[in-house]
Amino acid sequence: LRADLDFTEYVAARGRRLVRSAVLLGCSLPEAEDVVQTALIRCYLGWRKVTAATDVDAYVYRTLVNCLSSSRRRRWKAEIPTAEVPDRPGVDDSDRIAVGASVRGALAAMSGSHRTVLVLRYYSDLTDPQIAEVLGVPLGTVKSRLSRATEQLAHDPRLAGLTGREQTR
Amino acid sequence: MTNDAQTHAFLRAAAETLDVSGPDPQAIVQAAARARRRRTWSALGVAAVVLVGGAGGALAVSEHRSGDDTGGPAQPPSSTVVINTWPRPSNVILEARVHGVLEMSATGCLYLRIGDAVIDTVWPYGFTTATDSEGRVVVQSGTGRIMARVGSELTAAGGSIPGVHNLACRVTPPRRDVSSLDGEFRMGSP
Repeated sequence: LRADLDFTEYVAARGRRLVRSAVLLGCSLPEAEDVVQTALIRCYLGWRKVTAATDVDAYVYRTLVNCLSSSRRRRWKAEIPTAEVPDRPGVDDSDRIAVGASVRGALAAMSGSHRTVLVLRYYSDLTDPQIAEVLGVPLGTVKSRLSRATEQLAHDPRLAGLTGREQTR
Repeated sequence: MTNDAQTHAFLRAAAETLDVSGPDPQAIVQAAARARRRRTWSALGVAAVVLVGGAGGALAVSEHRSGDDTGGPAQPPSSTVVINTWPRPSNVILEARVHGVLEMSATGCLYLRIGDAVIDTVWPYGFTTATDSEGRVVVQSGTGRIMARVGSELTAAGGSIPGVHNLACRVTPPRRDVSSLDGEFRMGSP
């Protein structure tokens, strides 16, 4: 019962962020919800093992990334750039929505490995060692991928001129 | 603004302008409980519903069959059609959308084609196969309602289930996840 409570609290606190992370990693929204549900089911089934891990977030994100990889191998051969405008845009938030769509377009144009480190570091807020654990790669690899991915994003033509808009927020 | 801060701001804008509702923890707990039960049942083998065609009769019987089925789509269909069904009813429905075209392998195994990939399926308890008035193979519910037709698009609520082994009807490698088709069946485009 205690484990159920912990799991419920974890999903309530992190669920939306996990779905958003999956979208930024290249899923459409329905696919992201599907993958996150699959990942969380797996985590729940082994919740005792998850909570015994030194880093619960790293464990859950590793499960998410693995589910995403296997799902893509199975059914989503073509990645879908998520450049569409969200369903319910706020009237006074058009700049931010435009920035969001441009960034998602830029992410979709990146290689999977660069996009993954960028999302895990700058949206999911994992540390470099956590990312290394999630991806099962050396810390140095994470740092070099991050460096190249950050540079690529900074120089993406879709984001030219957007820096000022984000800076004022 | 540093590259670091700028990247943070960009990623947050990309994520937070998405209209996302978080997963329902209770639904996940229920789905996990169901997956756990399925693992137990899968150890015993998932039931296979077999339609013996030919002479116009739609005879559906349950039996267990093992082994892989790696044949491609069949034209014309074989005389024996096989689907996997859960051996017990359940009240839980996985909520992800599954959409693809229902196809049949050379040896009569029904599976879903999603884009250029294929996935094995497990149907709800009580589902059977039959032929419609035009001689096409269909999958029907326990009440006899036609829920899917070979060669037609199918949309349903469902989700990926790991760890289901011993499928009687299989076109993918044994360790690959399968798709559980749980409800809200609709033929045609989503």
